[in-house]
Amino acid sequence: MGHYVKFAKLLALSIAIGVLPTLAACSSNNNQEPSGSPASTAESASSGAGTWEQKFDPPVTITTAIVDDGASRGNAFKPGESMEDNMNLRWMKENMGINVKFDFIVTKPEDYDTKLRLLLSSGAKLPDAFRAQGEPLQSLLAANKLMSLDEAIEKYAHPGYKELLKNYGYTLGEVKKDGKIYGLPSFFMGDEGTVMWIRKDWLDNLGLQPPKTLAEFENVLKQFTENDPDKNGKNDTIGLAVPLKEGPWTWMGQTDAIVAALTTQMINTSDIRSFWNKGEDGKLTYGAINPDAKLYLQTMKDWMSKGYMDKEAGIKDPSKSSELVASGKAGIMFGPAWMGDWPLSDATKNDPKADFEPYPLPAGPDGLVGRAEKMLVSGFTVFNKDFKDIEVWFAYFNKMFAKQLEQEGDPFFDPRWKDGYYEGYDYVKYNGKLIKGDYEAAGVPADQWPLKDGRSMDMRFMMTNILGSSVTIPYSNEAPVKKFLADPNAEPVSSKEFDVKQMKKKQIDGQGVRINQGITEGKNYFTGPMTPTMKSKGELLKKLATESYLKIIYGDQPIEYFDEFVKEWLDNGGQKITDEVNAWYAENQ
Amino acid sequence: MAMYWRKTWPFHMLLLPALILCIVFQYIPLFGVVIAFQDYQPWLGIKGSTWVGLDHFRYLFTYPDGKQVIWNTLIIAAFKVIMNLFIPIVFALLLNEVRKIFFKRVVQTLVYLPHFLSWVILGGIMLDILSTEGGIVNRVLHSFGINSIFFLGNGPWFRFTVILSDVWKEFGFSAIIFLATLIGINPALYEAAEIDGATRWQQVKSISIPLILPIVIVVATLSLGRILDAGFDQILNLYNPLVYSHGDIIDTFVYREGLNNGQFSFGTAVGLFKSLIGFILIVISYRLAYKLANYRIF
Repeated sequence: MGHYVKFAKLLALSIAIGVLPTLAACSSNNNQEPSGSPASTAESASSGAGTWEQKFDPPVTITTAIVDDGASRGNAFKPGESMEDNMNLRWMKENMGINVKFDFIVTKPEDYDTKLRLLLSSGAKLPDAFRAQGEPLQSLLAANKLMSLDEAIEKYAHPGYKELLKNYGYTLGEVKKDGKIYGLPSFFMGDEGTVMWIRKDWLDNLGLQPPKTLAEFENVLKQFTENDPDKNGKNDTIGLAVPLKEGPWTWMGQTDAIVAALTTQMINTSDIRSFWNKGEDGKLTYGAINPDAKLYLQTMKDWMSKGYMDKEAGIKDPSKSSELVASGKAGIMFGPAWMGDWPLSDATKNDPKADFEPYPLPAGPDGLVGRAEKMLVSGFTVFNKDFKDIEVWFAYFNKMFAKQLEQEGDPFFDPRWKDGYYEGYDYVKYNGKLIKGDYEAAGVPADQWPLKDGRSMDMRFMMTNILGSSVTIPYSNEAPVKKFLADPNAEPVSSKEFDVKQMKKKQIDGQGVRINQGITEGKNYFTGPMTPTMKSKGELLKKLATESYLKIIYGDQPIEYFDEFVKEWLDNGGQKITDEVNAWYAENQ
Repeated sequence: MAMYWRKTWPFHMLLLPALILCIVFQYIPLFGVVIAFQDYQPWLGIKGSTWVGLDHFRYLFTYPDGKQVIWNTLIIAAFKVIMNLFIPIVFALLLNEVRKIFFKRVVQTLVYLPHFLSWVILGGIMLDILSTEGGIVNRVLHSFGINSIFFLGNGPWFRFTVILSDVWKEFGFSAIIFLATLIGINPALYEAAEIDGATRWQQVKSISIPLILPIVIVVATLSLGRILDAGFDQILNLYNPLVYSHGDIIDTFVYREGLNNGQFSFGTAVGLFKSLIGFILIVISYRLAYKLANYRIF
């Protein structure tokens, strides 16, 4: 017994000691003060303000946070480098006097939001500059944790960026509070507008012309469905591949072009924040409840009952739906220009003759043609209220922005980045020639390739750090697209042109079709934060709308059911949301 | 007594770490449920957020879809609880009668494999095999002259599919506990029965079933606590607007409503409601088991 007691004493002690750190860890989260931020205390001097030469001495530390899913970015870093230790961070430290420190790096966007919420609720220090969107962003704003930026923008921002913010001011609704701006938008390129992708080989097989009107479009659907366009002797094809799980508007396969051919309304059922269309009286109304939507529903119902569309559209999301075109079962799918690569190029794996071509959108009976504007902004870069060195942040941002702008005589443009960011990373000089990508084809010896497998590097991961998201200027790739449309073999000069040259030919063709059709894209006029009723009733209304639309399209309910749906939508909070949206619009337009 | 303590205190100390961990990670967080009665805002914390009483619970029941969602949950979960009890028992009894050890092992391994697949993967597979255009299930139906069934796009069929696929995925794994009990039965009982001239069926009826009954009662009682869990992962990956009316359950509803919009209090309130119902059902079934079968679980 005595022997056991002694053993047990020892064991108890050792377990207790072993557990202590775990327990301590629970309570010490709040004490994570940044260890090395001397800059906030000692005033840092800078040389070369307002130009690319700006450098800070002593170095300034800026903390940030980022989502980094290690798996999906095989070509982001060289072996031995990482998000926290790479070429660009070393360069920034050496040449700009900026130390970047990551407060946290997580692998999933959900984890990122959770982390922000935890920081908020525990009252711990937020990173100096970081990305936020949606509900966490609104919480941060409501909690007064963010810095208002008007003054800093005025004082430090690149003049081109100031202009950009002015032009796209309407996208800032979510970060405006009391007339002040609290976040910088992460812009999209805006080049994802819908084009019409059709199997040209099927058109040729049946002796058809690309449809220019909705009536011709319907005829093509009919022929594709009934007349064996792939000539395999089987009745196994349909016209249109379309995902309806989220309603008419989604990121691929969307039917906004059909909506726009029939009415000037834009329709989305899966998000209560879009589309809010502007009426003639200047008031905003929700597109999905506009009586014009019946025209769209009638058309879709018709096509569904005739078998022109995928019978299972209602249970499919965009990727699932695209399997139909990839497997050669459907001949038409709407979507962005990038579809020219994935998923449409997969069709050639099944049938080498498969040839998806982009075409302009068809016009409706009254000559209407259109598409919906993709959201131009997703998320914002925001700053800790106590962040002292926003000048330093802008020094790096302006440099990156000038690199995107590529304007001659721009004082912010860093000549060291003229050819690209870093030699041996995103470009290689070989025989006096500048090479970016396809190193093997260009004859570069293997030992000079940036990565061992010869792929080009995706620099966005390395360059983003404190910026929150990569710097994009909306619509800035139009000119390069036009250049390569005119002459596919033209030599790329600017970085932007190098980027566009990297696209597949079909993608450039798609971009060309989109740009040349010259459509004014239907805007969503509501860009503010979720209103109170949107928060409490939005999900209910979204479910109601999407469900009702599908019931009508599938013929489970007659078209007259639409009026019933609209009444229900308005009674269940829709009317209140409409009022709130218009109150917001009156204040912010 | 003092003597007893002096001798044994180190053994009690051994319990301490586990006890502390349990208190820190299981009991202290329990106080977090108070946010179910608050309008909780992360930056205000529990102390600063305003109290709203039972508002969140009222919201769930007065929400236009609330009743439908609760009803769907109850139907789907009830069928799952019953089927996931009944089928593994039958399967275990049958497998226990198999003589060839190799065959028995192979079957057992094969049937519990699906348990380890995630619904994200199975969701994609089911979309394909249940497709109305060329899906294998509908092709088999065709060959019997039956029209295509839109399993995932038709309300009643959706429920059927959800329940059946869940049973398919889980029955092998659930059967393990019954199989283990069956193996543990004293062979002498069977030998004695055989000498007395009992048939196999009589042996099953009079030996196997009575002896696994206690375990069946335990499993049944515990599974009643999950009566409001209709399978979040599964439904989320399979449902769509066409079947909202028959397939939207409390968990998917809370997911859309609470998590997407960051409504923590509402999510907590629903979680508390579910736990409460589960707790009540467990207590009742425990009492019943004691009264009817004179069996005590705890």
